[in-house]
Amino acid sequence: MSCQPVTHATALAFRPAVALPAFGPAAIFGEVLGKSKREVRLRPLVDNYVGLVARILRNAGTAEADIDDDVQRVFIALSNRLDDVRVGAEKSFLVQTALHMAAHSRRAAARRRETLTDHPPDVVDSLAGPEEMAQRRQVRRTLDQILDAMDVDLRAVLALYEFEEMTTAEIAAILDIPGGTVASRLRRARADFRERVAMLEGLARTEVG
Amino acid sequence: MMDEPDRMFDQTASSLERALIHAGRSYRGPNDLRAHTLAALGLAGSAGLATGGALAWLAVKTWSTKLLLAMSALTLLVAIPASYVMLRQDARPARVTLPFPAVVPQPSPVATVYPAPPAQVQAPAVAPPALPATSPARASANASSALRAELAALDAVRSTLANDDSVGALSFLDAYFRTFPRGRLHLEAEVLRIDALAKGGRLDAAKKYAQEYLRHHPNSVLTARVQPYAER
Repeated sequence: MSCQPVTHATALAFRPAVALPAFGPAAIFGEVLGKSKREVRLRPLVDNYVGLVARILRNAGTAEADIDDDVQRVFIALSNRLDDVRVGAEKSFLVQTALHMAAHSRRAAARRRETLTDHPPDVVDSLAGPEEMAQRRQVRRTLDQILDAMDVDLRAVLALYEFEEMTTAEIAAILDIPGGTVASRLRRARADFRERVAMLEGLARTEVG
Repeated sequence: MMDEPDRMFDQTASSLERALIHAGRSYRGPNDLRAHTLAALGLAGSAGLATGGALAWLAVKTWSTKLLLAMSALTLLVAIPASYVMLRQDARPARVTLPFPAVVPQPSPVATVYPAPPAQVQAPAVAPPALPATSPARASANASSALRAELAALDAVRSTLANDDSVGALSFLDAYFRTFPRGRLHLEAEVLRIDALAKGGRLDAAKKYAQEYLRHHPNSVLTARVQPYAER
């Protein structure tokens, strides 16, 4: 990667408004062309990756209510660092930043929970029947509960491999870890995920029976 | 090249597992996410798209073509402020096509207090036609269209500001707030107002607005952009 990992603090550091040039052909064309280079590069990235960033944030633990703001923060971070990000490496930068942002979001949510209650949330608060499970919201809630219970590193690899369908080599480059570590984390993440799903299915069968 | 394991979605026999993985893959995020992100980045809406595309094309053309295009663009840049001056001199809005629902900007001085909440915004003189009961799909289309109109309105503000016309930009912003009293891009518009005030030399007003903004929206994603004005 040609860029440093981005912290939440740097992601929030929005570049101050640039002073506009005086009215005149040279000034205008300098500004317009300078602005357009940034815009020409940024806009397709928003078009292509806004959904990816939202999905990674959500699957890595950002609350639904914070997705809109955090997606903007991720792209603002890219905008601030655009000159440092090599052309072609933008997707990696966005994924890395989204994972950092989600980690910050999870920590903030945990602090809020600590303030509100002494008890950790139940892993699964209720089991729905087959019809209700078909409802998207219920499935999403169940997925959140399973992912929230997983180790953070395993969760990230699982999300990138199973949800984003990235290759292990891509994940290794993004997380800056060896390919063997990715493979190992993926095996453990899958085993953990399957165990939790099997437990849910077992509980569901017990309830039905 | 290491062997890629099969994806769980393709190999699992569990319907719950498949449903969960599908939920993870199919998450889309809230509506208007793209528009909000573009607005936060200060990228223009449709006008910006056209500009970006045109300039990308411009980059690969010959010098003679560039010269012709430069002349055309210069003419446009001169025409835009001229049109604005005409608009201010002639109150007939039909002569000027605004990029968003027509509200004639009133060049009144901008108050140095934080804008009134939406409930206190003066209602338009002519009530909009009553809409029939809408389906969710129709409502979504209307919302999307309204957001596009908001983006176009803010594009007009940015263009005017880019031409050093801070008074015009403030007038367009007043028009924006009147047209979209419950608009979804109010925060971006507030930041543009602060930009316009500062650019027009009204640093005290810009500072006051910036401080009010930070007080009302301490967690806004645009906070860092406003901060320098509040500290001047």
